[in-house]
Amino acid sequence: MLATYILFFIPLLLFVLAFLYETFLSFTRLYHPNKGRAGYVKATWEFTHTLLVVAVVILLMMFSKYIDQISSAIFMSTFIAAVALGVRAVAYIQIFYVRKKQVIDWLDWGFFVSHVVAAVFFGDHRY
Amino acid sequence: MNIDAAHAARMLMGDSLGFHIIFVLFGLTFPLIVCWFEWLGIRRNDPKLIALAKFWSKIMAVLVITGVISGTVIALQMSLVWPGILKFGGEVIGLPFLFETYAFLIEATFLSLYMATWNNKRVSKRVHLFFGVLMWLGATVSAYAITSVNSWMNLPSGFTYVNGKISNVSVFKAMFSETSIIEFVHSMPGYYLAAALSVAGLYAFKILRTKQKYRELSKHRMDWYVIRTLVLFSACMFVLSGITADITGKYLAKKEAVKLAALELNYETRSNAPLLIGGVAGENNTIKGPHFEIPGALSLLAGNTTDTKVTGLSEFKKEDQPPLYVHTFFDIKMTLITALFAVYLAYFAINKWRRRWLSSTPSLIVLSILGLMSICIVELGWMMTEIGRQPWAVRGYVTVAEALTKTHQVSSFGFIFPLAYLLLFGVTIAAIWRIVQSETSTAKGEK
Repeated sequence: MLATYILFFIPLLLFVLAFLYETFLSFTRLYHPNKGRAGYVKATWEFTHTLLVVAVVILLMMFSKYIDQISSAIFMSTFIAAVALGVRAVAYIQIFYVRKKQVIDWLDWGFFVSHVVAAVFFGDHRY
Repeated sequence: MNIDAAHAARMLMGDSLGFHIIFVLFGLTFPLIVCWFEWLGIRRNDPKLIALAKFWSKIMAVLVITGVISGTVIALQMSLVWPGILKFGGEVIGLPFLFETYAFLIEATFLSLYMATWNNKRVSKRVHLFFGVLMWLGATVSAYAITSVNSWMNLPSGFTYVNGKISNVSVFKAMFSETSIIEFVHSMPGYYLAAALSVAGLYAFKILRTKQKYRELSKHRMDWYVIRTLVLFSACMFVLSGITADITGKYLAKKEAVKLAALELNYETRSNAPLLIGGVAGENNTIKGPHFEIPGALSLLAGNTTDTKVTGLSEFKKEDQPPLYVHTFFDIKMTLITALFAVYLAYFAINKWRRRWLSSTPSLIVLSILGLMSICIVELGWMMTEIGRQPWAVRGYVTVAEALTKTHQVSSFGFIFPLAYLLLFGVTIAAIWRIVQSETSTAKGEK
């Protein structure tokens, strides 16, 4: 059981740290528009989300018998966080791959807000 | 059960999987294509081939972003919307799920290394290629693990079920069942084929945009090389898909007879069963609409002789039968496959005897749309697999209604995800277009 906890908590901890770092960068780049792509992580950092999936899967394995209670408890908050991750991905591609000029506008703020919303709702289990 | 909630949840999952599979097929094939071109470039000492590999690796990275995010959303949906599947079989399919994510972690790690070490003097070309090979291996192992979970839902194995409890769990048996292996070897050539033809189609489209008289000039030599190489590769995958489709047909007849019966609208158990082309299910076991039958062909598919007895839908209770509209999907799929076969024949004939015709506008238009056509074939294949399993989420054990979450209704907000997918798809295409444009302007600048 200890090994399973380690397996669960290590990917989860790595995800939390990496995602908070990304959130921090998405905020600081708002004030350093000339940094361009250097102000944020590269595409290959997307494996941060794989860490989340690893943690989720291990959680499901550990508590598969209680999955309906767990899913009920985290349903709404996780769904909102998943939508925020989707918005974040759209903004990421638009900002760093499609947009020609690196300027700061509402999209960059939306990009930052999507990080915050995802982070808040992944940790919110009031529902 | 709330039918609307179940229907909305099925639609949401269908949308998510339908969107994700496009990026999966590219994510599985691009590492292979990129490594292949890089290997050829190293072997022939050809910088153009290496530049080609580098160019496609940039597109691969963008596709990975989209694939990762849609994959993350699916992982969350699987547990939140369908908790019944994991509650029943978590002990059996939990580990394959985990292997999938760890294999993907390996893929993502080596993708990072691969992208970061392009033209790095401290990393030799062969080591760089080795990173690419490990990335491809990670992707393939990940695909196998997740396919084994799906095939377990199609035909559960690797456990004993007594008095409502699972015991004697063997993850190995579940992961390496006949179903898993057959599903994997049938789907992989399909992914390779679709992605290879999509890339070849893009090059054909590029040539199509130039005037006829310039289409065979040396500046398109590399474009034609890519088209010829990838069409040949996809043709090999087409043959392999045909062989594995035959194996799948025999497997379905033996193990998932109700699915085969629904796909072919075969109502009665009989030998010399015909293959039905066209038509839709009518009332009282009839077939409506224009259709024709190939006598004995279904029996031949099921057991290599026309005497083979094929189980009909009448052997199964009405409530255990999948929706019969899957037959229409099967028809569309077979029509597209037949068209693809005809195009291959025409392509190789023209390539051998009338090579100049290949650069004609009609030929290039056909080559351009082949990728899209083969992506449709992959999508239809998965729709047949998933809808053909209905009403079961885990065949014989958990129905879709039982697997669905009881506490929340997806119908009230599930529409958000398809909207997000549309947006994501749009920006992904725009991003790829920008990479192509910047590559083209760099190439022009160098000249």
